[in-house]
Amino acid sequence: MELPILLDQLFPEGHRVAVDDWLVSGEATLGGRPVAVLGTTNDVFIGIREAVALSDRLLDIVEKSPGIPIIMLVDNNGQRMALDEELLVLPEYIAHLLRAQQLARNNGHKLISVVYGNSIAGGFIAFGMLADRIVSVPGAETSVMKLEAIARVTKMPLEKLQDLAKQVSVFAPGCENFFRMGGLHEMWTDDFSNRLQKILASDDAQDIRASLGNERGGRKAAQAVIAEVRG
Amino acid sequence: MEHLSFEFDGGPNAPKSGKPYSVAGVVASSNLEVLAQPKDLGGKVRFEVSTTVAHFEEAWRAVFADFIERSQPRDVLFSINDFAAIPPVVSLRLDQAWEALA
Amino acid sequence: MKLTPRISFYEASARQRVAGLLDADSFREILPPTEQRISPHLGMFDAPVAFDDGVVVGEGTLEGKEVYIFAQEGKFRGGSLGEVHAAKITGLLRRAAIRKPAAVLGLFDSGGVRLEEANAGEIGSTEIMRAILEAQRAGVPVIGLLGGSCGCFGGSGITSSCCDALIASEEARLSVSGPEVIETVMGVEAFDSRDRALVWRTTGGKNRFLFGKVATLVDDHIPAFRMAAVALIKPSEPLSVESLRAERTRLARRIEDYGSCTDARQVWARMGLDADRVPDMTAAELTAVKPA
Repeated sequence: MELPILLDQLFPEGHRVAVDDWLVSGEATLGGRPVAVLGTTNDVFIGIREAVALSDRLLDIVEKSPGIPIIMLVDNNGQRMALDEELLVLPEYIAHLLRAQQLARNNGHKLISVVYGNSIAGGFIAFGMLADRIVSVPGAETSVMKLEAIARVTKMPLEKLQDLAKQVSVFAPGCENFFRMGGLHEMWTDDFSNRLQKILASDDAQDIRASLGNERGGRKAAQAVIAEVRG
Repeated sequence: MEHLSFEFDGGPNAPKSGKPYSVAGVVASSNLEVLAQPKDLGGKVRFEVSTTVAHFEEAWRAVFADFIERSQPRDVLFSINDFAAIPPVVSLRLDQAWEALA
Repeated sequence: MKLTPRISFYEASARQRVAGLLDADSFREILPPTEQRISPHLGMFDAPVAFDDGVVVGEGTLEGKEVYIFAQEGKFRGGSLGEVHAAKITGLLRRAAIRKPAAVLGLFDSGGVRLEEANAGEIGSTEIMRAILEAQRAGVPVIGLLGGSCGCFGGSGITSSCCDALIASEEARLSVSGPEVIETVMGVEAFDSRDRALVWRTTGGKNRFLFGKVATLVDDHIPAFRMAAVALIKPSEPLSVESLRAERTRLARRIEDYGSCTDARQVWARMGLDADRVPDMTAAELTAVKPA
């Protein structure tokens, strides 16, 4: 989904959101109240520079707008794949961004991710998957790895893998699979503004994704294992 | 994957360590994992095998028979996940698992 | 000083590492292999399973202090995260947030998510990350120990980086994308994954130690890991705007100072070190010359 259309449909009451290269940020009005908007666009890869830029904005929001809901708009092509990024310890930058998200949570901000484009592997982890609730809109695409690459590494013929992918959700790309696995809380086709208000009003910042995966049949083991080990 | 079960008459040695289980080996290529548990089997010894290499039932039986003769265990269940280990490696892991349990 | 023979962390299995790190006979495994909670998905691929799905979790003591521990078995499917594997670690961390042991020790040894269970592994990794952050919020430190044969890549690279502190040997590797993945996607000019020296100076324990990501560099010796873990046990620092701004400033500064470097040797030279000598220096020697 195109970003301007997404913004209009999420925030019919109005928004003041700007795009600076790949960085999306600003505020909007939802149900009469302000919300903060932060996101990525334009096929960006999340690397060390993107991580510090995003954390900068996030820390601004936490500092200047106590308790404001934070709507994270997700469209990225995964982590930046380069020797010089890993050299400077890319995982440390991503963990820093995750800690900034946790600070927002600890300080009472609700974090809602709206996936509207690609959301791939490390990029999606860095920005998107650690929100309180994760939803998709039409045009969204979630993936860990392309089927062709999985076939190569697991040494299974691609056709057989494609057949299996029709029966089970556990490895193949696509929002339907991710939803069944509990990776997406909701998949929205319309009425975005009302749905967003409703999800913000829900009480719960607990990580319920394993129970969603169990209910929907995509992950029938995880919830029970977590509960047994947790005690 | 092939799944096999074997039962043998045991010897005089019941597990004495008090441990509820022991593990030897890991499920890596050419290796296997052996889980040993004390179990009231009326003096027998049981082996449950999952293996990536089919059609070697008699080879397994021979390795287990040798192990029983060597260590004389009783009332133990051995559960095995095998990833194409050769018989000497199987024997080694059985010995290690039994030693830790005995 | 009495010399003990080297007890290699690298060579040891996950169970051997746990036994060697904790106080003797203190370990109580949770969801032991006798429960046979195997992967529900590997059968589809006709692949062998492990009774513990490749991770050992439980409770024990370290110098008398109660700790929880998880240890990934790198030799089982590359230590990869599947549905059950990830859920065991998440459960242990949530247990820690409730019962508050002195620390959680995480022995990471993983190439990333298990491709046969890619979505479960990916989502599971982020459940682990959420659980680490919640344990820390409850004051429980999570200490990562790196030094196994799989390194720490993909989801595990990010997860381990969420720890309060990392202990690593020279053998450890830590990155988001593994070198082979970068080579496959971007070409061998981008990263020659068969150049072992390049892999280790880029992603290895020494580089990560010199950048400050690894708190303690140790020899490949289980008692050294144990000692380092004991020294790092203290309550987790709460997150604050100040602490995260300071962290961000430090990370932005690193980009300014080293962002034009294309090789670790350039980084080390800029740090004022003899880049030729770094690969040969022991943990103790490198610790002594590490810039503040």
